[in-house]
Amino acid sequence: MSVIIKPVITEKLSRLQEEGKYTFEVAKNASKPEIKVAVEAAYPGVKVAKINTAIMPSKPKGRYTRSGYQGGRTKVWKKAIVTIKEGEIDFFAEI
Amino acid sequence: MDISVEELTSVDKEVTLKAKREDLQEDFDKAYKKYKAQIQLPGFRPGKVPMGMIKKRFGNEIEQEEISNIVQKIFEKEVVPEYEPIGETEMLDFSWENDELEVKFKIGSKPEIEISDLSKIKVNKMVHDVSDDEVAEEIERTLEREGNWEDVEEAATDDSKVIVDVQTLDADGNPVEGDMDEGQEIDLRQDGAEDFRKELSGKKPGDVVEMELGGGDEKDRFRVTIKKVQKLNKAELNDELIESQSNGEAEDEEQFKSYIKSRMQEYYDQTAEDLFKNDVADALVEAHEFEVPETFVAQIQGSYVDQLKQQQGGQLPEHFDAEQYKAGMKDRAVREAKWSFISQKLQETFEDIEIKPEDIDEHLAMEAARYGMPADQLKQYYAQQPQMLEQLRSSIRENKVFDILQDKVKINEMGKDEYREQQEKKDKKNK
Repeated sequence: MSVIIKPVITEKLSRLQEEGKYTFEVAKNASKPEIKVAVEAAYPGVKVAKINTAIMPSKPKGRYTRSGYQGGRTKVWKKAIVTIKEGEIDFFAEI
Repeated sequence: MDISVEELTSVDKEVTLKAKREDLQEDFDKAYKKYKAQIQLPGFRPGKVPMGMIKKRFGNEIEQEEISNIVQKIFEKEVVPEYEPIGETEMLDFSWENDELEVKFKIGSKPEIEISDLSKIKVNKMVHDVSDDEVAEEIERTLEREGNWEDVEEAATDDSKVIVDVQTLDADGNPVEGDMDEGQEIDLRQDGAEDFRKELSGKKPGDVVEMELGGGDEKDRFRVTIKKVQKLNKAELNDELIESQSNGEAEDEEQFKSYIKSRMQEYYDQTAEDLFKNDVADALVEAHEFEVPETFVAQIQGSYVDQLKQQQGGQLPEHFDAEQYKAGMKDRAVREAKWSFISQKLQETFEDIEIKPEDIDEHLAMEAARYGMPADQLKQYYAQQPQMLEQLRSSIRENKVFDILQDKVKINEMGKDEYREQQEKKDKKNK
């Protein structure tokens, strides 16, 4: 499985982008050095200064259907906030 | 924004709009602001998506849409008041490349017409007074129509109706299987039944006749079996018939005659009026030489197709070639376009053409009489349809133009037969 799964784009995280902090969903077993290599490979010209990671916990999630309450949980995933010292990342360059 | 105009003909113009991004930026910003409030993206509250992200993701679409809005706005604000386009404006070219916009339109403008001396225009007008003989003929036809057919055992005459079975035969005279029409009614008095008249006259029920129809190589052979011969019993001209045929307006024969006479006279007068209008329009179109904008002609051609579609019940026949149809109607469309400009010009030239409420009432009463419905109902119908009312107004205005024209042009009155001859000559000449 590749290290970077997808960029995470939300209102709060796009505010962080102005400070040069870009956020990704990454493989749960990826280490910070692995993430650094993967980001620098995916976005040429980018130098990573620092990486903060966090395992996002599962939360209960359910909905009411015709056959009653369907319960479940969200998946556990790893978030990596990558601080960049050089270069720029454009999440929409490929669109 | 740059607008330049090139004259293609005296009535067709090509308008080019040119603009750079700087000219449009203000409108773009407004559009982005508008969309910012509407765009919903997962991860963002509504209206909180950053502008940069909107530009990156939706920029192209938003700008394209805004450009077509701007072009339309400019066209309506700047081009329409100045050049007064007529007909359907055609877009020739549209490009938005390297931050430069270029749009080309073809517009038609109103031709300049100088109305020529109307007293020099000659128009034939049919005048026909219904004679007593024609009334008698009409009554005779009514009696025949109201009469009934009676089965007789006599031989058929030229005035009979026969009911026959028709079997198609092949070249050797053998019946073609499955090609049999049973119980066909043939009215031997009709013009189209000449062949049958010749063959079947004098035959009795039960007789079998073999006959050939059609000329040249395409001869079809039939075996006709006469099943019945019918004789017409004319209706009797009695009070009951008079009342039903005159909708209760006539009580005796004399009144019935005058009723029929007035109805026929009305019909002839109306026809003469319609023909006269047509002829005046033709004469005026012929007397004035000018160019009509292609866009306007195209619009009229388009309306012909729409009309046809409506006549066919909302759907064009399969494999219908609209372009070919339009091309075939071109002359008619040009004539209609010319007449429309001449009529407009005449409406401007003539005074006292204002529509008064009485005019509308009068027109409605006339229409109501024509279609046999109450005037109030018709009025209500028009009240519910504003576009129809506009049409009504213009048709009243046009009627007024014709009224005035009637006094101005030189009218050559002639009888019905002479008029028909003249008309046929004219048709031949046009062909």
